[in-house]
Amino acid sequence: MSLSVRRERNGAFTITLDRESAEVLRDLPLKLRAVLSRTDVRDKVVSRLFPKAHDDPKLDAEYRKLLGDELLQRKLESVRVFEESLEREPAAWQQAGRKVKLSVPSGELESWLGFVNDMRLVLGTELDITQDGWEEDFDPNHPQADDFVLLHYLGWLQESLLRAMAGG
Amino acid sequence: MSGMPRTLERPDVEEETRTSPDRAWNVIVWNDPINLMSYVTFVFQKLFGFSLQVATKHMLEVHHQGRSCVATVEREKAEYYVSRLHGYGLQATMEQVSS
Repeated sequence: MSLSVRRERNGAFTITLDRESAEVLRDLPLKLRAVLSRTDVRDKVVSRLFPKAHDDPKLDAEYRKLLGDELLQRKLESVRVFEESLEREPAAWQQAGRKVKLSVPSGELESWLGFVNDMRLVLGTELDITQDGWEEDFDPNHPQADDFVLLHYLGWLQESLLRAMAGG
Repeated sequence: MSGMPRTLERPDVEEETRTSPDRAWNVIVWNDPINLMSYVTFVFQKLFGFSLQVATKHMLEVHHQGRSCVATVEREKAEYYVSRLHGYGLQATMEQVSS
């Protein structure tokens, strides 16, 4: 597995991924869009993506009415930008080799962060992670071990993006 | 929050009051085990214009104490901040400052 994020002189970022992980990322917009189309707030994943703003149910309902749709649109916009970044240069995917190299304008990086974070929240909630310290207890025989691996990978990607944005 | 655990001195609570106390709302960010510490710090810097030091202080408060008050502002502004924090995937609520 390899991953690097580098800021270029022109301000854009070069993100280099191993092909296998890149293909996994490519499938995620579809998955997040499907989750975002769910509306039942009793659904634990939906309620994690759209958390309560108030303890008082009446005030919370007011908040959702006022700002809920805007929040959904913002999340959908991150999915759209992320997907567009991934698919902008078909040549990047067609070249033979074990790596996929993407050039992403700096203005799109925040959508990457938002998308990756929402995806981590979906996976973490589906995996019932409720306590700090879960990273230390990885069990390769867990029935959802692949999702744990993806969650870690997305964390690595997010850290790499943040470090590159900070200029480190 | 998720990240390398570090032993650091517990930060002092500092709350900024920008409006009359009876009409002000606290914006509270809650701990959760999935968001990365570095990401939460980034969001605080970006949204509130905090320095790295202040953003880190609030992030650690969330991590160690379970919550941090990141702003005390009028209702409309508090709603704006909460919805932006939700947009970034943080768990945030608002509560009226008791007079």
